[in-house]
Amino acid sequence: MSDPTTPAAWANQFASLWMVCGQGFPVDVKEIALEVTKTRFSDPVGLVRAHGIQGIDGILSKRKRGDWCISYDETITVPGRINFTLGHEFGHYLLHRKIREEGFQCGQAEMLDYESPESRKFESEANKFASYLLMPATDFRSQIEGQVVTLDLLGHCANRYGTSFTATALKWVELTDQPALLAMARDGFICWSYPSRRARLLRTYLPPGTPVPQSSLRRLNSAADINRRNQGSRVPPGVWHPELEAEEFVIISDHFDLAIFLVRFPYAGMVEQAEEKDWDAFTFFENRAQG
Amino acid sequence: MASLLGEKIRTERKRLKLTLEELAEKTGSSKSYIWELENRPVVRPSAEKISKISEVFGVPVEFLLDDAKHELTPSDADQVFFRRITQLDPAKRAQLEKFLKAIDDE
Repeated sequence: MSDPTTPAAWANQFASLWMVCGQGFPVDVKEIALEVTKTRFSDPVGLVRAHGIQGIDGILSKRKRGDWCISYDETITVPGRINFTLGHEFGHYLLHRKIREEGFQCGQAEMLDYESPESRKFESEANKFASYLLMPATDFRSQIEGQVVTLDLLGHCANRYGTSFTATALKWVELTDQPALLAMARDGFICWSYPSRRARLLRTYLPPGTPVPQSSLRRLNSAADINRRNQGSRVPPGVWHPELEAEEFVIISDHFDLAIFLVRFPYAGMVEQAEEKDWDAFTFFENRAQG
Repeated sequence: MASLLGEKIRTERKRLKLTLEELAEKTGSSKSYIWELENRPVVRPSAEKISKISEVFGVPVEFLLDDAKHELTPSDADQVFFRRITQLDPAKRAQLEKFLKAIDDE
């Protein structure tokens, strides 16, 4: 059997294996990395351990004997961050180690440069792998199906998968059938926003640098609202979307003084979003024949 | 993801307890421009702007512009993937070298 080539395919393979073996959640990345790679690759992950260097979340490095070591910053106190880091580095191992070994010429300066396209591509692929491995879509759907999203629901998922709130909320937006938007803000401006599939159809997207709506900032600065864990605030049209009323949850992020806004558009269903139907040639001519 | 320059500007601004508006006002910029500078690597400020900002911070211009990446030895550089390095100062670099050496012998 040939190896997968994409982050999602690799992650799905390991997540399925984990679930078939009857293992519960959270997925133990350390165990998978050590156990699976030693039987499957000639250069396995031979060591997973804390490195004690603050400021470097995780490192994947090759040892002289030819195997690999995943090391991580054990002082990170945010639940789920270490697990995600392990998944991320394991992703680098599966997806990128060969590129380096085959003479991928990339100086230290570039490896440290998060802005280089190469580096950004690696990072985003490793994140995707970690997200799919730790939060398998089938299981995640079974947790959220038919339920209104609340911070408690996301908290439940974050606990189940051992992931951070941000990673969990992103996964919810990725999988939900509802129109929703996740936006990360810092100092009153949007850093990035991620619309769900249905929200994209409604043209809901805020480019980086968009000012956070004033009313939302006021709520953000009022601790009382933040503690209303499961009640979103009703926001009139013209704030998060030109025509749609929204429900807004706000969460102070787990690091870097960021604020996360989870915005739902519960009344978007009233606006019929007709998608263009794909017609094949036969249907097209048949319709034309019938006038 | 902010650039190193952006991180430096933000760190200094926070150290001096300045808001975005205050720094913008002192440097003749808009609030959103300063935010972009701190948070968006694509923004390349003019020399004049950098010199104004460093004046407000009371630091030399070189401090803001010195983006020199610390070189590791080639052997390490060949084999290491990093994740989210805020800044690798000499002390951390030494720690890292030591750690990589230690796991080789494990």
